[in-house]
Amino acid sequence: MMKKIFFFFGITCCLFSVSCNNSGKNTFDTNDSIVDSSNLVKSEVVFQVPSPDAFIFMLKSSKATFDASIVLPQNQTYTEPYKQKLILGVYAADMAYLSTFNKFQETVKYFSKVKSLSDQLGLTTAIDKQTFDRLEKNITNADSISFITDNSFYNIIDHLQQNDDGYTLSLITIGGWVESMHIACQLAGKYDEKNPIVQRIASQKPVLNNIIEMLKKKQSQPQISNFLTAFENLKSLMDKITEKRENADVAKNVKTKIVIGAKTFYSFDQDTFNQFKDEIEKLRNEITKTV
Amino acid sequence: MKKIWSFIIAIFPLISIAQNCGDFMGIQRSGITYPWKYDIQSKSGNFYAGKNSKLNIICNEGKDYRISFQISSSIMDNITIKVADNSGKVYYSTGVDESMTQKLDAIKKELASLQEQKAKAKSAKKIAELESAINKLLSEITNLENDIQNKQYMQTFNFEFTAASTVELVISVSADENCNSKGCVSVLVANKPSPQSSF
Repeated sequence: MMKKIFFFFGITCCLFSVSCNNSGKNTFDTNDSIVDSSNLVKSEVVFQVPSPDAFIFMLKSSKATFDASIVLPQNQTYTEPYKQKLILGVYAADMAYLSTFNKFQETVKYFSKVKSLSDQLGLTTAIDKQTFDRLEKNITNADSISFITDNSFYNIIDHLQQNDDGYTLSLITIGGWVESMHIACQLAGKYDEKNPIVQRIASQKPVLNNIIEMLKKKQSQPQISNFLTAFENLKSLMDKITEKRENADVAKNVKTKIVIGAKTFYSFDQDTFNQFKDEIEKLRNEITKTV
Repeated sequence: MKKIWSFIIAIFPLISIAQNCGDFMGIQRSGITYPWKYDIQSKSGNFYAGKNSKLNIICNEGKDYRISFQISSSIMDNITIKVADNSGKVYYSTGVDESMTQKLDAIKKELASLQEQKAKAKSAKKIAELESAINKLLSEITNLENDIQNKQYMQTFNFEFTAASTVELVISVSADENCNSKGCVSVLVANKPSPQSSF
């Protein structure tokens, strides 16, 4: 009996030391780190990317009109884990789009796709069965649907961050951002520089910069390195956008609140916009092709 | 036998509390209430002597943001936090504010000079004038010292703002070299639609 207890204790100690290593990694990413003599990370820089729903919300407030045909059909099947990770990001962006525009039934369908992909990728703990049941019970409540679906996606991201799975996180981010840009470009319709959606797309340059920095940390992976090249091409297009900032009058008027930034007009010329749109469509086709 | 089991059972919670900064964030996340929403750009990590981290986040136009910080009590006095934009303009900081201490030093120098002048002054009118200026500076010094003390000891660990355009912010967290233990710091980002962007 004593032997069994010590055996059990030995095993748990081993498991604990493994989990300690993981927990240790549950700090800010370490790839940019300067390590001191005692192997402790002393300095690090982390680049974060907002979730797709944050950008989709901006599209809705730009008076965009809903178009059901632009999302990736939910009957697509992907078997390769690498593809599944990219598509998880794509479906998460589609789910955010449908939920933001109050398309409840469709949101639930896309949520089940996100859940099924996360199950296949071993992220089952991020979305449990109760969450799905809760969603079905709240099918007509816009706020609840958006809360449940958004939080489920946040749980997946948290799970990946806590387990230091930067590779999966990068692929999901790529899929989510490309799909968000695809949705925006499709909703923008005919080019007009003053079109609020064109302006919103132009405002995403800092997000693209952060994605590039995130991908650089994982560029040793060939699949990530291919996307890094494509994203750097997109950046060279976005670098052509010029910004004209209005005086920060808002900050003066709102005394009780701190206001950061100022209303900005982006000069995104037609040629550059069309090239950007073409690049996004090429990338999206690459990501979503089944073979 | 019982002792061994008690030891095993007792050690498990201690182990998990000591190591998991993810749980640290989870507790903080659970405190978010509607209409605020959790933002996936939140992050937590371990900090120890000399460690510094820069977290680059994007704040989207038309949203209100709240950045809250939670620090393990063991390292609380050794952590400095700063939120700045990419041009270096600081919007929030903890610890001693250098600009305030510089201002205090300058006023103290001015006070010393006035006190010297007062000691040498001969006319009653001049002495009265200097006296008044000295009292004004003494009051300024008291106020500044209070402000510095308040900032240092009654620090609020959250920062709220509206993003008028899509901006990149850099959150710098550093632990000083005197920090003699290890602890967690979590940066919780929450957002909600700004009332100004609606209707």
